[in-house]
This record gives sequence, structure tokens and C-alpha cells, in this order.
Amino acid sequence: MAKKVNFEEAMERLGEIVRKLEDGNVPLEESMRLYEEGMRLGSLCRRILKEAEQKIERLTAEIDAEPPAGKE
Amino acid sequence: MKGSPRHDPLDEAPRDLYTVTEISEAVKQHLESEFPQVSIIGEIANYKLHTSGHAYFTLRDDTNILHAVLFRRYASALAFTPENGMLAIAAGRISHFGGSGQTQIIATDLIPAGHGSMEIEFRRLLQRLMDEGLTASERKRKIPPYPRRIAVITSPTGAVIKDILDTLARRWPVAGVLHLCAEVQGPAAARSIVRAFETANRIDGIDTVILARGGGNIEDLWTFNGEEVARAVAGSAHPVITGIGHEIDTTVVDYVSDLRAATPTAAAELATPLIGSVRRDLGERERMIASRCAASIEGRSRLVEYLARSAAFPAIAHRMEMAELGIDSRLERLSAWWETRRNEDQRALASLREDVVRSRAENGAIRESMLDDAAGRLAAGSPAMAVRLSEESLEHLSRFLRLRVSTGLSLRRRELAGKTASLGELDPRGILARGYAYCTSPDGRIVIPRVARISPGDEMAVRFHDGSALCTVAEKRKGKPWRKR
Repeated sequence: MAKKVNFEEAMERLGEIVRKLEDGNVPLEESMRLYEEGMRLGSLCRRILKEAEQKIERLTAEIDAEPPAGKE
Repeated sequence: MKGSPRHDPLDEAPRDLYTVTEISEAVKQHLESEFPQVSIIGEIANYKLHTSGHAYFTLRDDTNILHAVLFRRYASALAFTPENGMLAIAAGRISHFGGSGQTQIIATDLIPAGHGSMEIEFRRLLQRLMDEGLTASERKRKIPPYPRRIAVITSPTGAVIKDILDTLARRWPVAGVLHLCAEVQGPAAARSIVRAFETANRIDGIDTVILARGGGNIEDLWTFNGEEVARAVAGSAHPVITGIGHEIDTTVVDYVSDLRAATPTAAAELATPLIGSVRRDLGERERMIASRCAASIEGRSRLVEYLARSAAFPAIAHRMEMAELGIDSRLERLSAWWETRRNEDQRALASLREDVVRSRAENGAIRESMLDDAAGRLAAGSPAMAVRLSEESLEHLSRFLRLRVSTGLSLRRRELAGKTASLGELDPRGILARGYAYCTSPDGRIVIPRVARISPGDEMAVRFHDGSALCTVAEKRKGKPWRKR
């Protein structure tokens, strides 16, 4: 999971950026950098939301493979 | 006794003749040796906890009753509160109490049978798990707020899995669902659920596990009060939400899971955010960032403007003031004026010109060529002065060009240039009339343009627009304006 930013980390980072900018005292260059990062994370999150489509897998075989004794 | 005459006639009879006490004692001994340790199941009736701490009650079934006593030290150790009508098992010895003529059980333990016994089992297991720290709140893991993959352990049949899948799809279709089918009822259920957890533990990338079962009677839910299942939940590699039975049902697994939901559907709700509000939240964060950045840039331009106008920066304030006088036309007229009055108070003029050119330079609106032009004209008047002037002007100019570039402040040069100013205002004496003064040597021959030229104790003349004063320097300071406190 550590390979790239996941949705949760992206949302957290966005909140962090908002807080930083709210605090003020961010140099101009830094705020432009934060802006770009924010927009990049935002579009990443949007992409994840857009691709949303419930995928269902069902695993039964492994569990049934060894029927426990005393099965009704 | 031997040879007693009384014994003979009664020789046959005394064997069967007991006093009440004798027979009571005999019965007591007989019963106690025959039933030293028995368990008797029956319904509790007439339960009374005496002030002495002993408990008296009867056990009954459809046709018979048995008196029972539970002495204080046992009564106080009971894990439940006995109630009339409750089916219970009393353990102890059967005895006979002559004082009331009652056969009774002297119980050393009383445990509920049926539901009650489950209750006891439940408490004992829960206590054990608590003692091990498995129910501690600091052990609870955070449920990932935006799961990408959710494992659901529940029956493959019935409404529960359908409700959960519907809820997950409606709220957060972003998450993939892994349904680990397990039996949730009957003798095989515990093992089946444990194996489902073992499977989930081996799979990476599961954010949340939901363990669910629909409502049922307490026997149906009993699997979830078992130690095996409880330990599987506690030992899960991923955070677990339990949704077992109905609102009112609380099972042991609810205590060891990371989050307890009242029902299976509630578990699916607690496992997921609402996609609509996540979208709104995301949009809100993006908007905040964009608007904060815009505000930050705007705020900086405003700050620059504010500083430029502020009295705390006299040089800049002066620059603005000068700019408003209409710099271009002024220079033009000043040049002409210079031509005609070059011989008149040259030193004073030079000082003023410095001021004028500085303000021009500070304005940032002037082009270098124009400055060169101005410097050229001035050079005609006094070469030495012109050199000094150029150096200083250039320094000012570059400083303010840098300032201008870095702040992006654009002066409304055209607007300002359109304004006209009277020649009177452009006259250096006019400038003096607005409150400026300049310093010279006491004889008025040498202008003193900088503080470095004077020392405390020196005399100098201060020229106002309407006269002059001879002054002695009391103190001097480089840099910031000096204020006597």
C-alpha cells in the first residue's frame, strides 16, 4: 500500500494544505507549490471516485474445503 | 444397663422406637451419607435473602418441592441474582433439619440453567478476555474512513449479505467487497468463522472486515459468545466491525471487535463514508486551497500598496506624493527652470534635485534613458554633482526596480502623468513651503546632504522656505529617524 498515495492520505494531505493556507504566513512560492499539490491530489481523488464501481468477489471454496466434524 | 428389668419386656419394641430427635438425627445422617454431593435442577421459588446473609428458597418442579438453603459465604459468591421462576441447578448435600422437619439441600453453589447458564458462561468468558486486555479501548483500531476493499464474513444465504452489499453499493461503491462465506449458526459455525478470519488475515489490502449475522434467539447467536470466535476477532489482522443480531443483542465478539454496530446494515454504514459527502468534502477542500492561494496573492499586493502609502515609510510616502504631482511634466519644467536658474543657489538646488530624482527613481515609472537624460542635463550644471547624483540615482533605481519586479506593484503611471501641477509646486522653494528644509554649512555655501558629514557640536544652517536658522548638532544617528523622547 505504500507504493503511492491512497485516497485517505490524499484527503488528509488536502486538509493539511487547507490548514496551512488558513494559518497564513505561507510564503508566496510555497503557497503556489501547495496549490499545485492540492490540485494534483484533488484530481487523483476524483479519479478514484469516478472509477467507483462495486466489485464483489466471493470466497467459499477454501472454507468449505475442510468440513468441520458434527456438521448438521 | 445390663440386667435392667425394664429392658426385658421392651426387648422387641425398642428397636423400632425412636424419639423425634433420634429419628431426625438418623434421617439426617442417612441422607447426608447417601447424598453427600448432588446437583438438583428445579425452578426457584420463595427466594429470600435473610439479613444474616443466608439465602432460603425452594426448588420445585411440576409436582414436588425441595427446600434449600445457601449459606452466606456461598450466597455472596453467586455470579447472578436468583429470581423466582428461574430454572437453576443447586449443588450441595441433602440433609434433614429437625427443627422444621424439613428435608433440604444445603447448597454450596447455585447456577442458572437454560438461558441463565449461558449468561454465566458469557460473563466468565468476557471477564477472562477483559483480564487479558482484549476488550481495552486503546486496543481498538481506527476504521479506515475511505476503504478500498472490505471483507464481509457472513452466511452466503439470507437477507444479511444482500442488505450489506446494497448498503455498501449505495454509500461507497469505491470499495471492492470480498465475501467470505461462513456458517453463522449451529455446531460448525465457530470453526467456519475462525477459518474465514484466517483467510482474511492472509490477504493484504483488506481495509475493514465486517462480521455479521442477522437477528435470532439467544441460542442462534451463541456462536458469537464463544471463545474461539472471540479470539479470532481479537486476533484479526484487519480492523473488525461486528454487526450481530438486533439492536439489543450484545455478544462477546462485540466487546473484542474494533467497532460494534447494532445490526449488519449498521456495520456496513459504519464501514463506509457516503460518496456524496466525500465529493462535497473534496470539492470544499479544493475550493479552500484555490481561494486561500488567491487571497494570499491578493493580500500581498494589498500589503505592498499599503506599505507604499504608509507614513511609516516616509521615502515611499514621499515618492507617492511626488508621483501625484505629475512626474513627467514636472521634470520637463524643472529642466527648463534649471536652465534659467542654474546660477541661483546651486548647492541648494543640487540637494533638491537629488530628492526629485530619487522620487522619480523610486516611482519605478521612469525609464533609465530618461534618467540618463536628466543626469545629462544636470551634468551640464555641475559635473561632480552629476556623478554623485548618477551613482545614487542608479542605486535607488535598481533597488526600486527590484522592488517593483518582486512585488508586481504597478503604478498608475499614465493616470498620474495626466495630472497637472503648477509650476509653483515644482519650484524647490515650493517644496520647502510644504515643510521641507535643508541643511548647509553655517555660511550657507556647502549643502550637507548626509548625516555622515556632521558631528555633534558642529554648527550648521537650516534653510526653510521663509528663512534660516543657525543650529548646533546635539546628537546624531544614522539610519532610522531620530526622535527625542
